[in-house]
Amino acid sequence: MNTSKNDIELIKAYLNNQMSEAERHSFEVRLLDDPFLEEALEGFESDSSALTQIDKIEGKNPYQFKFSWLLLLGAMITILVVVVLVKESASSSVIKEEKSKTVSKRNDSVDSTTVFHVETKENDFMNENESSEMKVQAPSQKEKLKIDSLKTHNVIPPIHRADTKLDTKPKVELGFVPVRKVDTLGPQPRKLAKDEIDISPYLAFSFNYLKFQMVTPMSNKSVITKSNGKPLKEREIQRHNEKIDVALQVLTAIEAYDEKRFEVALNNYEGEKDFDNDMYDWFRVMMFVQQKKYDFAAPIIDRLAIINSKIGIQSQQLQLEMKALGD
Amino acid sequence: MFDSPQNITQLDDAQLLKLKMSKKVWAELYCRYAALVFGVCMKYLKNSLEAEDATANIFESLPHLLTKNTIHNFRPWLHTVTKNHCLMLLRKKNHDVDFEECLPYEAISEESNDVFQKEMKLGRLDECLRDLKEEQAKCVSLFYLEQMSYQSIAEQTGQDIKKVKSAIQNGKRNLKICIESKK
Repeated sequence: MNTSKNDIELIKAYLNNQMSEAERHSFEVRLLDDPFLEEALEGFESDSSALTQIDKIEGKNPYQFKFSWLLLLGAMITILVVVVLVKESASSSVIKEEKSKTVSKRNDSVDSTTVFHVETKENDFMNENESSEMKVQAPSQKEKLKIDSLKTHNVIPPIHRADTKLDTKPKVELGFVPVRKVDTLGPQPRKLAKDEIDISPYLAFSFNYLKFQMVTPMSNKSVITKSNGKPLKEREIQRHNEKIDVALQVLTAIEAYDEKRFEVALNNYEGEKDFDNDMYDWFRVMMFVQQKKYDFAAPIIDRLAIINSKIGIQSQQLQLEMKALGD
Repeated sequence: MFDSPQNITQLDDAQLLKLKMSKKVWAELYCRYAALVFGVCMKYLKNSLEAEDATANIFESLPHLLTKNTIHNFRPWLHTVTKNHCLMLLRKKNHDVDFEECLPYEAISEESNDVFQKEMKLGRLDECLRDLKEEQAKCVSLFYLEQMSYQSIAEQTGQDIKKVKSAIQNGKRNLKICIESKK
């Protein structure tokens, strides 16, 4: 039934003079009645190379799948590329997994020695309102060295290592609070005059006390939980950190013994909403001690020493030192 | 029952178009007519690359055209589609189109051809043949009565084969008009 195929064969035979006179006449009669065939013949007549392209045209059937070695080769290359890519991604994921395992193992070993319980005992930094137990992530090697050096100077308050089983869950739940760079963990000891009290331990206490209050990705969930049990919102945490930052500026001014900066920073701190009155007085005490104005510091420290808080404990210590100096 | 490829090739165009349109049907139509369509495109576009593209475009548009129209006679319809597509391309290229504009295809039916042949056999054309121009009458006589090919007529009359072809086509048309007017 494929008459058109026959038509092409006839056209080829006609153009190549491969027909008898009768066949030619018969075909020409048909041509007169079939303008499609006639025009096609005219097309092939106009360009002799067109006849050679028939096979090419027929091979380009868009509706028919034909096996092609090129197609097979292309498919094989594609499969090969896909397999290589999959293998590579699998191997890289395995390497990552192994790396993470190694890191976690290392962390575990570090954790076993550096996950701390900050107990709410008398020497604790933490406020009583806060969680009774706080776990912090291990400090970096640099920070650890600093801590060690400060420990040797008895600047860092006692911190007890965890003796309970390790918590394998990540300690950090918030990632949106930027980690504040800790430049210093307190003043270095220096030579003192006879009428001088070394406030560096108290400054170190204050720095650490404030920094522990800062909410960072290293903070425990309990730190950022409101008294009603709900977690603080992001902007509340930001505000909280800003307030502590202002307080840290006061401490820096005391440490630098910069009275002007101290006044400005203290005013800023006083301007903060819900600022800590005890902390405010504690700042003033430390500055008076720096200035050797013990008479000004004494009444304030007497008030602070009777407060049942960490500042109160530190105040008692300072009070004793001041009395010793007076004696 | 006709769905297998072997059976599809046995069907004529009308039977094929009655089937549910599928890739197999399109593929079979392409097999049957791609070369002819390419030939027609070559005639009009006179460039094998353009003709190749035009052929591909025509067959790509076929499914849409066939679902839009009811086709009773596929072959002449496809010829018209091909011709119109080529003319459209030439118009886009601002070529001077010196041939007939796109018109609905009017193929000479088998029936009319049969009647014409019968009339020829009956000798009723003598009168009409005398009315034709000499050149046309001679070519038509040699072609239909002597059953000579274009080439033989050209050799015998010393005319160009294209002129012979043209004379036969025009003579045939004029004879048909003449016979119909004398019925």
